[in-house]
Amino acid sequence: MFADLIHLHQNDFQTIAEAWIRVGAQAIRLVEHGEMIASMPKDISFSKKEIIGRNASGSLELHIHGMNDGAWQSIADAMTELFSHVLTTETEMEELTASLVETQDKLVALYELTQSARRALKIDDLLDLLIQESRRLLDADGAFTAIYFNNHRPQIRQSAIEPLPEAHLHAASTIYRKDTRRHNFKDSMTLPRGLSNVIMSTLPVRENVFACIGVFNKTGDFTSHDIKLLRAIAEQSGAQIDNALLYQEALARTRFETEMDLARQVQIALLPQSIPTLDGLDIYGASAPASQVGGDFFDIIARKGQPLVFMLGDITGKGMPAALLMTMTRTTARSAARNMPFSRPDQIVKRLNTDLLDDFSTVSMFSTAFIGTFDPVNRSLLFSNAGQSPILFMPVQGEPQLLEAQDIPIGIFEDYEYISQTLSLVPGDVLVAATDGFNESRNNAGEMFGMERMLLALKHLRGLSARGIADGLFKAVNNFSEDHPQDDDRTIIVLKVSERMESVSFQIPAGYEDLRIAAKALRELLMLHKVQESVINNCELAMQELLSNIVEHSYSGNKDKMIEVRLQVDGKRLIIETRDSGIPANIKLESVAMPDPLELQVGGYGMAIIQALMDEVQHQYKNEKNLWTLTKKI
Amino acid sequence: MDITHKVSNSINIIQLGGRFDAHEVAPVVAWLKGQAEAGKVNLVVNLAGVNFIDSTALSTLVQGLKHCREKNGELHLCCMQQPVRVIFELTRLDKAFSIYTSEEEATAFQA
Repeated sequence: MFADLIHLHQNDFQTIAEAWIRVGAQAIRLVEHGEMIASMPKDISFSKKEIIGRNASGSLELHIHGMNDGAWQSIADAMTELFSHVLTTETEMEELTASLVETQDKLVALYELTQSARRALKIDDLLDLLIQESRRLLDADGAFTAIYFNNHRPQIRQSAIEPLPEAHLHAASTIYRKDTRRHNFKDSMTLPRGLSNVIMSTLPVRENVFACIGVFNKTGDFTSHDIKLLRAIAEQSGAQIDNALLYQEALARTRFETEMDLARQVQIALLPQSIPTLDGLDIYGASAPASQVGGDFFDIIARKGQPLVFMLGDITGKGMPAALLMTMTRTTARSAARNMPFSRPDQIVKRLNTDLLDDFSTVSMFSTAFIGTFDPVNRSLLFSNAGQSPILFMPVQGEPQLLEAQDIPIGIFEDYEYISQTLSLVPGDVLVAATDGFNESRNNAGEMFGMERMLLALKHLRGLSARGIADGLFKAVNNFSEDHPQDDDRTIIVLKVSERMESVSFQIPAGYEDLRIAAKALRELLMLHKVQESVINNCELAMQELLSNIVEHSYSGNKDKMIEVRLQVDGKRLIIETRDSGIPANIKLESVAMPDPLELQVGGYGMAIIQALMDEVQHQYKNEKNLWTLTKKI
Repeated sequence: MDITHKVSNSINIIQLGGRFDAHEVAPVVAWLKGQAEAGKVNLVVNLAGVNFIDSTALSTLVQGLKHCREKNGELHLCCMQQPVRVIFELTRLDKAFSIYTSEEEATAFQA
């Protein structure tokens, strides 16, 4: 290995050779491991006489021809040693320089890589940059990274002149992963097809992720420098990959959270936004979802001329799957309730079971449901209970009781025959259908709210309206669980049979004879509320005056036009509301006065009578309609 | 509405029953018009059977009263049920009309 360097010291060799020649030598040769690396003069025939100087290791010899005086031997040895030393130093210098240059190259390359990597926020961009640079720096045909997020298939990215099937790179990374101490593979027998040689290095990322980089198919073999460089690149990139992974996860989490948030909003929007009102029944429903999307649903559907349908259910499980099935179940139930004429609860449940069985079975989930219909005329409640609990019945006289589910949940057995049960209710009876988010709520001590507490709370709340009862139960369970986070959705429907009819709404044509209909309805409503006859008369007259006014002035007696009337008894007040789409009433209510009787005025009594008889008279013209509201304490 | 016509002491009497309201005023308006055309200016409206009266009916009666008085006659009312009387008091039209408790009194006054 001195052969490459001797030319650097040709002058030194020449000086020494000339010195020997002056003292009688014919020629000088420098021999390393038996091979001549320098001689002087160049062309001579060597005589047999020679002295051979050797360095300490014996690798270098100085052959001095034409001399055989043993006195020169030690000088020759010393000179050879000196030469050997100079050349060794030179070699080391050379190597050091080479290594310095290489280190410099690597540093520049790494610096560039780091700079570019910093701009690559996305993990895929970063990995692509990494493999392209590694390939270039190591002068190989291809490079790849493999990231194992779990124990199965790694995510592979490659950059190659001739890209290899992912399976082959997967296989190569698996071999390396088994024993990361081996990092240089050149045995084509163990390597997957298409790989002639490959070097690997681990990318130091977080603990639960294994990531590695490989550079493959270099002409010739990878050197130990290549391996060192790859390791340096890998070490440098680990932190950046980690950051990119974090960024990607944060991004995914944000996106997921946004989507979940959206899903939750959709779910909430799917719950009834307003509760229909029904004469003879006070009904209220509400849902308090847990923080995530959930599986509870409820619905209250009023259909003209048919019993009111209400439903409440709970899909097993939580999160997105439950939410999706909840949406489906609710939609199917709603369409079943709406579109099946005179549907009984058992028919609706059966339809749900038939329609959704496949979907539920596929994901091994099911749904409990309570579906009821209420006919206000005969106050009969028909219901089917597919595994829903708790259902609490609180008769106006007697203790509250738990109605056990009669049937199995939806989504378990095909062709299951669900049944409807009947409950005849009397005014004051209360029925509460809830989901287990109520009774299974826990406090910080780990205790459950339980059925007993729920029944007790209900007993205290029974006197309130349906909404009052529902709000009270929400409050009771909140107070119990204190600051313990809500684990499950809480959904409730409360029915309370009204003591008496609270309101009636109808339309009449704008003809004088049809005002009788309104008068009859008003008398009936007020008689139900046991209002004094004289008060009923006054209210009837006030309404008559209002309706005659509308017929005469607003619609000019056009009987094709309709007047909407709503009569409501709200506590101790009667409220008469009318709407008509006729000419806007042009009247100053505050300046209405009873005409002077002695002037014998024909007309002008109507509005004055109304004002004299009622406590409040209001008129609004809104959305192209006259809205009149008369209020009277009864 | 039930309507009966009657003549007593040569005074034309109309007896009304049931609801006397906007829907029912037409026959009464027609009768009043007929009386005016016939020159009859002293009339009696017996409200004994009326259980409900509204402002249109009131206006009809006021109109009749005006006509009679213009011709120096009078339109008398009699036999009001309590709910009807209440409305007359409310509108203070009890001050405008001569109101009697019986048909005899109403016609007697004329004689």
